Amino acid sequence: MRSLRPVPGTFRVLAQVALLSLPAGCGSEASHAGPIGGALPEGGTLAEAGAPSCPETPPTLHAAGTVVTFQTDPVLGGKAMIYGEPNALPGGGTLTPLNLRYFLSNVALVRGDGSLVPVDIVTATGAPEPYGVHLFNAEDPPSTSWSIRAPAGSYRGMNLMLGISDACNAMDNLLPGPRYSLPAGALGADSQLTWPPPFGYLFLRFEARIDTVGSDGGTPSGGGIDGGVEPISAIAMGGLIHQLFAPIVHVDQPLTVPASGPVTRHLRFDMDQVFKGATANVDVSRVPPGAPGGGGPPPAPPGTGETVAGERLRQTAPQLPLFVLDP
Amino acid sequence: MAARDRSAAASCRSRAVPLFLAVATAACQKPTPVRALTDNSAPAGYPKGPITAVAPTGSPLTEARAELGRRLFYDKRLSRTGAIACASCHRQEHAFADPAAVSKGVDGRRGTRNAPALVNRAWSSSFFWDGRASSLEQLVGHPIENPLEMDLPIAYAVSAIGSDVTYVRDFAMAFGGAPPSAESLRQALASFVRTLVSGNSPYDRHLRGDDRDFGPAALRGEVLFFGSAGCFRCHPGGTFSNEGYFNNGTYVEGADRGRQAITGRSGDIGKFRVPTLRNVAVSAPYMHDGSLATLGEVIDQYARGGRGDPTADPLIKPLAISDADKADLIAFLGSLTDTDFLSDPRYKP
Repeated sequence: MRSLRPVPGTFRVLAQVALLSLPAGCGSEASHAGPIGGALPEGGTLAEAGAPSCPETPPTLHAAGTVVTFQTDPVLGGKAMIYGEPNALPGGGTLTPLNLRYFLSNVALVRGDGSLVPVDIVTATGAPEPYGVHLFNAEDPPSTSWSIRAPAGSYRGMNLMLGISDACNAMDNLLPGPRYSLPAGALGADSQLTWPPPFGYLFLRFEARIDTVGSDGGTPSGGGIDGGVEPISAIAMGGLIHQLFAPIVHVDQPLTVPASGPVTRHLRFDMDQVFKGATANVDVSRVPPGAPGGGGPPPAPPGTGETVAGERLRQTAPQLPLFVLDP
Repeated sequence: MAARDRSAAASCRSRAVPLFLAVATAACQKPTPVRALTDNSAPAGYPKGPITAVAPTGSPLTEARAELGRRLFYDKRLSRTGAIACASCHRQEHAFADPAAVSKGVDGRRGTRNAPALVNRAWSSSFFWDGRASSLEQLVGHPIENPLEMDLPIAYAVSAIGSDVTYVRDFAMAFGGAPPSAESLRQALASFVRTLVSGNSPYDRHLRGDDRDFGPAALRGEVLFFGSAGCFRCHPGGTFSNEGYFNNGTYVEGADRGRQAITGRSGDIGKFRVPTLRNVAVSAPYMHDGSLATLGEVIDQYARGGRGDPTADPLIKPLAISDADKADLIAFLGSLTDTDFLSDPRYKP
């Protein structure tokens, strides 16, 4: 596991200042196994609940299961969100997504009785995804499909970790120092989700250009999406290693896994809910001083506050229908 | 004589002042061993492993291929006029970048973009400012054929090489007995570029716990870089590039549209590839168009929040950077200069 002790130079200072500056009570959360916000599912057996390591080749859970592929498409205002193009906002103006990427890991299917069946995250051909992590990148169409291998059966839903486990976030080699090296693949620097220590990886990153001028040349009539929630232009959802964890989100639609496959299902990633979470009125004092976007010294960058938006989303994600499985 | 032997011998000659002639002569009888091109390993922050491990399966990295590529890199016969080599615009002392804003090709023709540094490109999966090549093998053919650069059809380049018995012999050795071809020409050049690894800057040594060349200003600059200045968002530690495409505020209406020309997406207007900052202090000028001459100008532009075009990325906002902050950031960026890389005899002609 990553330790703060061997961090050289400035990183050590940044890390320790950030941790020591946490509001009272935050430190005690380090002893909690589960994510903040009540996200640890009942009877959870997910990696977050105690897995001590993050092996590049995760152990196979269901060698004989069926591969189910989820084609995941972001939606905005109930319509498919087109990446890199202006998408009309209900209140007027447009939103042009410029970056949308997030990690998925630790997937479990939910039986009718509420018990969980952890499943393998695999490629479409059934090979394990390195570190058990899938990187969704809206700019890379193949990455918008991801797969699990699961035992046949009928399930009432599915739990996903929107991010990576603390074990993966805290691998020794990720900390700048003599052993500093990023993995290849989903957890590499080109994931664009690396973040300076001690914050570990981002779990989700979103950037967009929002043009608020309506089609008639005037300003929007007011109200954004989903009951007046306004979209925002940047979200950086991340955690604090050993302190603030990736949320587990719930897919509440039934899923049947047949005895043979492969099977493809469509999953919607609801940006309206993302914005709802990222603007929620929750306590963000846990964003440590010194965190990019956080408050307090060292001075935070002005303007964006994307880390604060991310913290709002991180806390509220377990209660939001971010993912919806099409019938 | 192999390049590294020549270099070692030259180095010995320069040191051989009369007073120490006997000693120097004795030392020069056996050239100092120099590592092979393929001996490089991943610098800090990159996936661990030898450089040979990151070469594509279809273009395995061998010393013979890399050495062949080195010679081709400096060979002006790969241009129509015989006046321009790859190295004409990618100069080692500038981290294989060009100190000109835009490079001069055959017949004095000017390109439209700054020749980027060639540093640690082995770990990348897209190339050029707009990402139009997805492998080094693809990349190396473009400048040879580009009318504004070397302006020579690859077939002609192969023909020129094929008339050189030394090349024919060495291609046969490197490529299983086959004569030079467009594919093997690309692979040889790509192999050499793949070996250009920089990983011994003061910053790298700082990561290893040696701060002798990493002073207080660099330390303060590091805090800014990975903190309030927000540089890390695109330039994470180690690689100093997230390999992405962003509109960093340099684009203005009517200028080079960058990535959009490749993808067609309107949101990609003005996006260009994020370059690594390793050796950035010696690879001026900056930005895709070479429009900023110094690191100070770069920091000033970011502090202003770009050039004001509304297409800039939402993370490009005005920054409160004092003159002292700016000096510290420049000191930190200077700590990314790897002088060993800039003078490595293995990369010389």
